[in-house]
Amino acid sequence: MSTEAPAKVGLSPINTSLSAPRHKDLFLEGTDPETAKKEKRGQARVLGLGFFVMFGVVITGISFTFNGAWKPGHGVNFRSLSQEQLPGWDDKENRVHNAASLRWRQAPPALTVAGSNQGTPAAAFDLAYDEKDDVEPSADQSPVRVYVDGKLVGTAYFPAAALPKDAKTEALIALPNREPKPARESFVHAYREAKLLRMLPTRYVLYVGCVLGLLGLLVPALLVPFYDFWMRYVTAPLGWFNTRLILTVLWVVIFTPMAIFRRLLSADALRREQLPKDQTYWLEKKQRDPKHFQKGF
Amino acid sequence: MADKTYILGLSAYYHDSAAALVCDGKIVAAAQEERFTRKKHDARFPRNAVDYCLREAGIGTEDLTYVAFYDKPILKFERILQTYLGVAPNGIRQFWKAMPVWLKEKLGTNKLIRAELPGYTRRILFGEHHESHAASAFFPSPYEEAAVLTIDGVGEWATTTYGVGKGSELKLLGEINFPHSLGMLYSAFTYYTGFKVNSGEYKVMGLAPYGEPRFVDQILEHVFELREDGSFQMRMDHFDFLAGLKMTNSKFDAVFGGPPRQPETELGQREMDLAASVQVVTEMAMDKIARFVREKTGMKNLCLAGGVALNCVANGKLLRSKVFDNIWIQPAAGDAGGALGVALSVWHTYLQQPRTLREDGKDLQFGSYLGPAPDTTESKAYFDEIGAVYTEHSAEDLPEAVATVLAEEKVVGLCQGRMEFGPRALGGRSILGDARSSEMQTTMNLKIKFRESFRPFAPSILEEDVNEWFEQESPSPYMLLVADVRDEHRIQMTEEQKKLFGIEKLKIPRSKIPAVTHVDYSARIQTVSEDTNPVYYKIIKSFKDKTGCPVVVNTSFNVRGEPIVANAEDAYRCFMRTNMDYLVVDRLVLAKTDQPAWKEEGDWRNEFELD
Repeated sequence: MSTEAPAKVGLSPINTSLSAPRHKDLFLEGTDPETAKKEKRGQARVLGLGFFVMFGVVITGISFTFNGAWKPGHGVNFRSLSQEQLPGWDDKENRVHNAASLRWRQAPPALTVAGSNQGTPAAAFDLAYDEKDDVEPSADQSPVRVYVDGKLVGTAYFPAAALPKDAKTEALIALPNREPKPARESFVHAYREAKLLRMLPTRYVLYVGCVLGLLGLLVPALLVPFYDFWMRYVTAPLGWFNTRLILTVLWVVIFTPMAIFRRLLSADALRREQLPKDQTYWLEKKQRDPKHFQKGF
Repeated sequence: MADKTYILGLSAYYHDSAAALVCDGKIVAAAQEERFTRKKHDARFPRNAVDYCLREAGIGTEDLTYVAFYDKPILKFERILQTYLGVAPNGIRQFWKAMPVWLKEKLGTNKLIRAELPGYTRRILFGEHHESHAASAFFPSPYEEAAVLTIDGVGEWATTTYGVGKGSELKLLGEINFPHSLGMLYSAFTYYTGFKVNSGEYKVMGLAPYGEPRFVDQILEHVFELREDGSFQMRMDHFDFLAGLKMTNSKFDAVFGGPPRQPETELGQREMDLAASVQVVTEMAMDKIARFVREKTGMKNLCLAGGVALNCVANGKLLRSKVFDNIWIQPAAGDAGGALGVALSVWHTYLQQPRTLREDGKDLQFGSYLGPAPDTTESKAYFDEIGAVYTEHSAEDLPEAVATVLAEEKVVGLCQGRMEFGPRALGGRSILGDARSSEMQTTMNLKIKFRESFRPFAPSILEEDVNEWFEQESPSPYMLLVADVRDEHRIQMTEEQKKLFGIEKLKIPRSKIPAVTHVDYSARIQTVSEDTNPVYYKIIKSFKDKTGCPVVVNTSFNVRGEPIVANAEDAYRCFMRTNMDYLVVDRLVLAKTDQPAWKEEGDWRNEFELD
C-alpha cells in the first residue's frame, strides 16, 4: 500500500479477519443437496396430490356427471336413451311397442313369452320374442343397446326414423315394481361405461389420479422421476407454447397496427432517416433533477 | 454506523454483473460476480460479490445507506418497445425471446433486488446507464475537471454521450441514441468474423494488426455514416439486430462479399482485413468524437468509459494524437464498472457530496485492486487438505524467487493481493512469463491458455521505465493503452519476411521482447508502480536486476473461456490443468514437479463454453 502517507483518500485496510470468500461456500440456500432433495420431494408430493384432484376428482367427476352417475333414478348415459325417449315407449304400460327386432345377448331367465311377463325385462318390449328374436336387422334399422339393472342384456333394433335425431345407442331399463338403488347403480354404470372423448374409459383416468395421489401422500420419493419428466416434457413445453401464443396475439393485435399507424405518421423513434449534410446526429441531452435516481425511468 | 454513508452499486441482469461498495465517497470494494461463480459474464444478481463487499467493509445489509442499480430498467424497456414499433411486423422472434424475461423479471428489478438483500429497507436508486459509465470515468479520475466521454453498445437509449465533470459535478451534454452505436458496429463485425458478441471483441482487436484495412470505404459508404463532428448513423437496413436474432443480414453480406465466418472454423486473411477495417473506422470515429468534445467543452483532460473504451488500441492512438493532454480510462469500462459508477453518482450527484482528490496526483481507483485477497492461513489449509506441496517465502525473498524462475523462462501463475476489478489482470491474478523469449507467445497461447495462437500478450513494465521501451510517456496502470515498442528495441523484418501475410508474420520475432510485441510492433502496456502493487513491482524489479529487462509477459490467470481465478483453490486447479511451471499464492510457492498427480472427472475443457 501507499507509503506516501498524507493521501487524503485512502483504501480502508483489508479486513484480514474476514477471509476471501470461496465461491462454493457462498451459495447459501437452495444448493445444499439434502435440502434440494427434500424440496423436490415436497414438490413431487404436491404434483401427485394435484394429479389426484385433477384426474381423480375433477375430470372423473365431470365425466361421471355427464354419464348421470349421481342422478336419482336409473342413470342414463349421455349416449343413451331414457326409457321415456325410447321410440314407442308407453308410459302407462311401461313397454315399447314398435321395436323392429331384439337380439338378446343372453335370454334373461324370466323372459319366456313376450308381453306376458310383467315385472321382467321382456315386459318392456312389446315384441314377439319367438318371432323377432335373432332376426338379422336390416340396413335401415338402428341398434340400441339395452341395459337392465346396469347389465347389458342385448340390442334392440328400431327403424332409424323412429329414433330421435341425435341417434342414441343405449337404453337403460328400470325393472318395474322393484325398488331402484339409484345412486349405486348409476355410479356403477358410469364407472363401467363412461368414456372420455368417446375413447378412453374414464375409470383409467380415475386410476391414474388415485395412484399418483397415493404415491404423493405416502412415498413422494418415488414420484421424483415422474416429477422431473413432467416438468421437463409437459409443463415446460406447454408454458413455452402458451407464452408464444399470448405474445403472438399481442404482436398481431397491438404492436403491428400501432407500428403501421406510426409509419403512416412517419414517426421513427429509431431515427433511421438520413439527415442533410449540414445537420448533426448529436442530440442534446436533457438535464434531469438529481431526484431522478429515485425512479426506475 | 449511522455516521458513515455506505452506498452499494449493482450491475446485473444483462452481462457481467458486479457489485461495488463506496463508503463516504471512498471506494471500499468492487468485484465481478463471474469470479465467484466461475461462470464467465455471469449476469445473475451478484450475490457473492455483494457478500464480499459487505465483508470487506465489515457491515451487513442493514448498514447500507443506499443501494443503487446501474441503469433504468423502465427506460430500457421503453426503448425495446419503441424498437418493436419501429420494426413490426418483423421482429416477432426477438419479441418472443425478450418479452417473457422483461415481464416476469426485469420490470420488477426493484423487487428482485429487495429479495436478494434481506435487511435492507431503504430506497433503491437507479442511475442512467451512461451516467453511471460517466461517473465511473470521472469521479475516480485524478482530474479536478475533465471532459467525459462514454461509448458502448447501448444502455437505455444512449450509446454515446459526452459531458463535463468539474469537482463533484458531472453534466452530460450530448448523446447519440440507439440503434446508432459504435459498440454495436464493432459487435456486428465481431459476429461477422465469427466470434461471440459481447466477449469476442478483444479478438477482433487482436486480429486487426494482421490485416489490411481494405474495407474501410465500404463500411463508411454503406453501413456507417460518420460526420466530421464525430456524430454517426448506422444504415439499419444492413443490420439484423433490431428485428432478428443475428447482428447482420444478407445486405451486409453483399457489401462485404460473403456470409459471416462460422465460429471455430479457420481464420482467413479476409477476416483479418475486416477486423483491421472496423478497427480503423472505430479509431476514426473516436478521434472525430474526441476533437468535437474537446472543442465543445474546452477541457484538456478526458475521461473515458463504456465498453468501447476497452479498445486499448484506439485509446492509445487517441492519446498519441494529443487531442486531449491527458486521458484517464476506467479500468472496468464495461458494464461491470457501472456498479462502481452508480455508487459514486449517488454520492456526488444525488447526495451532492464534494469530491476530494489525492495530493499526489494519482487516481482514486487504487490500481483497481478492489477485490478479495487470498488468505494465507486459508490457502495453506486448502493446500494441506489436498496434499499440495508448497514452500512459504518471506515477503522479502519472494520477488527474488519468482524473478529467478521467470528468468529461466518458466511460466508462473501469480495470485496475490486484492483481485482486480475490471477485465484485465494487473498482477494480482496473472500468469507471468519471460518477455524476451520468442517461444513464449505460442507456448502460453497453446499450452497454457488453450486459445487461438494469434492472440497477443501484454507486457507489464516498471512505471519509470516505460518511456525507455515504448513510445509512451504517461503511465498506463490499467493496460488500456497500446503503444509501439521503441525503434531501438525493434528487430526489422527482412524484405523476404515482409512479403509474408497475416499469421505467418507472427513467427518472426519483432523486438527484443517478442513475446509481447504484436506484428505491428505494438503492445498493450501495463505500467506497474510500487504504490499500488508493491509485490508485483518488486518481482519485475528483481527480474530487471537479473536480466536488464524491466518487462514481463502478463496475461490473465485463466484458460480460454474461464473467468479469472479468485482464490487459492481456483488458482491451483487452473495451475494443475495447464502447463504452468510455478504457482505463487500470496507468499506460498508451488512447483509443478512437486505436486501430486491431478485427478479430474471428465474433460474439464468442456466445462467452459468457448468465448
